[in-house]
Amino acid sequence: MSSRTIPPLLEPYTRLPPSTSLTLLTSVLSASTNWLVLRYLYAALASAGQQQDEASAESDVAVVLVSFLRDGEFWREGARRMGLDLRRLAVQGRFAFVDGLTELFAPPASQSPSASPSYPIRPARGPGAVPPRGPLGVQAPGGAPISAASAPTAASIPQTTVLDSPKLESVGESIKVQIRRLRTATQGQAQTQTQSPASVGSGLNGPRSAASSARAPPAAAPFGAAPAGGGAGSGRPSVSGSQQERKVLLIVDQPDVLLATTGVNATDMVNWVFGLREQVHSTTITLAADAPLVQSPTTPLEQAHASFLLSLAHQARLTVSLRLLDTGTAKDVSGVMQFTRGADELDDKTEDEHLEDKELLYFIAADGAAKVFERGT
Amino acid sequence: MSFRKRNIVLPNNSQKTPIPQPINAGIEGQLPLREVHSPITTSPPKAVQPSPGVRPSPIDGRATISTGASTLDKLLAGHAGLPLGSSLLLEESGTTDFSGALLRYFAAEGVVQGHQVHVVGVGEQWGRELPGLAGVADGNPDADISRPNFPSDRGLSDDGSLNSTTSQAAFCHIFDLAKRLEYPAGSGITYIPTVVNASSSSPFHGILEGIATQLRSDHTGRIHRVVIPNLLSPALYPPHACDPTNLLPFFHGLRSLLRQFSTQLSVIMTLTLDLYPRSTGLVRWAELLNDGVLELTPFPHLMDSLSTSTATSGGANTHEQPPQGLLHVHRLPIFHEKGGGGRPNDGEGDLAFTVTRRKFTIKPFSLPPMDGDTDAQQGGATAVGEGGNTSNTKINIDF
Repeated sequence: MSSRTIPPLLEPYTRLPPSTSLTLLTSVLSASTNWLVLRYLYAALASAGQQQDEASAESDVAVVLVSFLRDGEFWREGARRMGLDLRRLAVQGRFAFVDGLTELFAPPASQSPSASPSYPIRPARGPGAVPPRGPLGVQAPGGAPISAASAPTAASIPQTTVLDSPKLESVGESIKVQIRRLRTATQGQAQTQTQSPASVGSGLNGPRSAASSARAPPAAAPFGAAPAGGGAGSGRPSVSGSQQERKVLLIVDQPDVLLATTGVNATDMVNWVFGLREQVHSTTITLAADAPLVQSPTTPLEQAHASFLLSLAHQARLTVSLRLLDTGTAKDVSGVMQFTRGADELDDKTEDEHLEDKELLYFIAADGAAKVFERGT
Repeated sequence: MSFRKRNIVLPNNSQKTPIPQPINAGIEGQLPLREVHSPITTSPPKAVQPSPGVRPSPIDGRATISTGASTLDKLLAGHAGLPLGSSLLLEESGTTDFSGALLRYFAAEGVVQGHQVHVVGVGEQWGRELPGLAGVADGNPDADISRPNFPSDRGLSDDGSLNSTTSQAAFCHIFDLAKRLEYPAGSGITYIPTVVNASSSSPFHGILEGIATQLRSDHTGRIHRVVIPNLLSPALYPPHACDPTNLLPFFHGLRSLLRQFSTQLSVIMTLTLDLYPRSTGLVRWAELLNDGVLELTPFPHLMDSLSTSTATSGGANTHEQPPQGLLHVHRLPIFHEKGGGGRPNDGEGDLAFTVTRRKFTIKPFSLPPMDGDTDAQQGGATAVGEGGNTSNTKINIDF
């Protein structure tokens, strides 16, 4: 179990970071950050997943995962290997997934939802799955199809948002919708419990109630307002959960895809990230840091990427860079991870003295278990 | 590349009509049907896994298909095939077209297995030049995987002879580049053209649309193989195709389709590195958006001298073709996505490839002994069994 979860040497770095902080994870072509993202997910969600009573729910953490290169199934599978059930956490309102892969550029499925069982990941486009707000071009389909199969009550929450436009504004807005939903998820959960008999009774009408419940929490409790009043009217209010906002951790996996595919300005991307960071407790972002993209940038694509990466690296409290071994390949080493503290962190020794600049080796076994160790051990 | 005539015994069933044979994962291990001949094993009502040419990965059981080159299948991080729902980007420097041979194997394997093959950008002439079927490659993959040093492994893959287990559904075939593939009835290749108009719209939009339409209209669960030869070649694609805002959304959309149809679709493509070097951000993004990246680096001038050297060195060496280039593995499907890095295969460092008439062979690379150094050559040949001088010999990759 321990080898499948967080290696001890990694643990200081995956603890819940302080408020408003940014953690940057960089990867290269053959040293991806996926395993590390899964460890961050686990660190944030595993403790919360153990305790399900409502008294402890006020201190727990929710995670919004935005992924531009991987689909939800990949993350669910990886988390499942660590003993983390993302579907169940999504039902509990502790996890939300924003899918930036499936319909960002691929032609969308035609309107006829050919419910062939061989297409499991295609989002269901129910008649009620309208955009949560008018002009955004964002659809909130009726929950992940897989979770709908396993847990019927989960079908009424849009736990997965499928982005269908690469525009920064709409992407950011739909991420913020999920952040708000999770922050006030105790109300959302209560609504689910009251709504689920209705949606079950109306048979196939699940997506419609999904969309309505998706709109309800932001409308009732707009950002910044005390969420306690919003939830009280709609269901049985939680005893203590509505008293305090839940800490939301945002993980954005490779937002540089937006930079590369749309040619958007790097400054706009940085501002976009700022806008997201304002909404959450802390943010973790993964970026590619391959040499062609960063060293001696010449083309506009490279320049924008380097600029974006450097801006975020300067803001970051901690940068974790993954790369291959400099000296060749080895059978029992997958790569090197380098921890670098940000500029602010160097001044402020009081809070995070457990963070230190360090270089470690890691190895990912075939079953996904991660091992992190010092050089020479 | 030169195709020299060699004394090769033709396989027995080279004239066999390539009937798509269902491979049943569940009963493969028990093998009651192993010795039964194909007319019985191909009885249709075997609906458990109806797709021919699909095999579960020995690592995690996901469905894999063959690339048409058995040594390339073995290279793919132990999955013994290309996992469905993944893409492979083959890069090649120089003016040769070795990667095109791999593409043709991939397409021909698909035709033989009854898969739907989509060819992007080139005309039907490309499809007419697919290599002809010459036999079945190495039909006993389980033995290779469970017993790493299976002694007959070398013999099987080197001369392409058939072993006794080929009566079961074949996973990978041998193709002859000097022959032309005869299409089985009912199979075919669809050609998706590139739109070369002067408009500023993305030339890839139609391609993506075409692939998606084909996949969504296919309710039979057939395997689709998408082949994209010479991506971004100026002869096939308009100049604005290499704009990142055109090319990279195409890769992203392709990746999305691969994930949506993760049991039906696989994509393979080639890219010329001389036009689009790996040091550019564009190519790096193309690599990041693909699941597997292999780079072929042919030897520029060595090839002539090496081929003459083996021509003079007699019969003992005829089955050992000199390597024609180096193969670098930059990324492999599933393996690197999970976070693995370093050395995915337990091979000995560098890999080299050899294209012959019948095979695309990938082996660990070691420099051959100098021409005329007969002692070293014979020493290398005799020391194979003892393992004393293995640095001079070529060792097949085992997993």
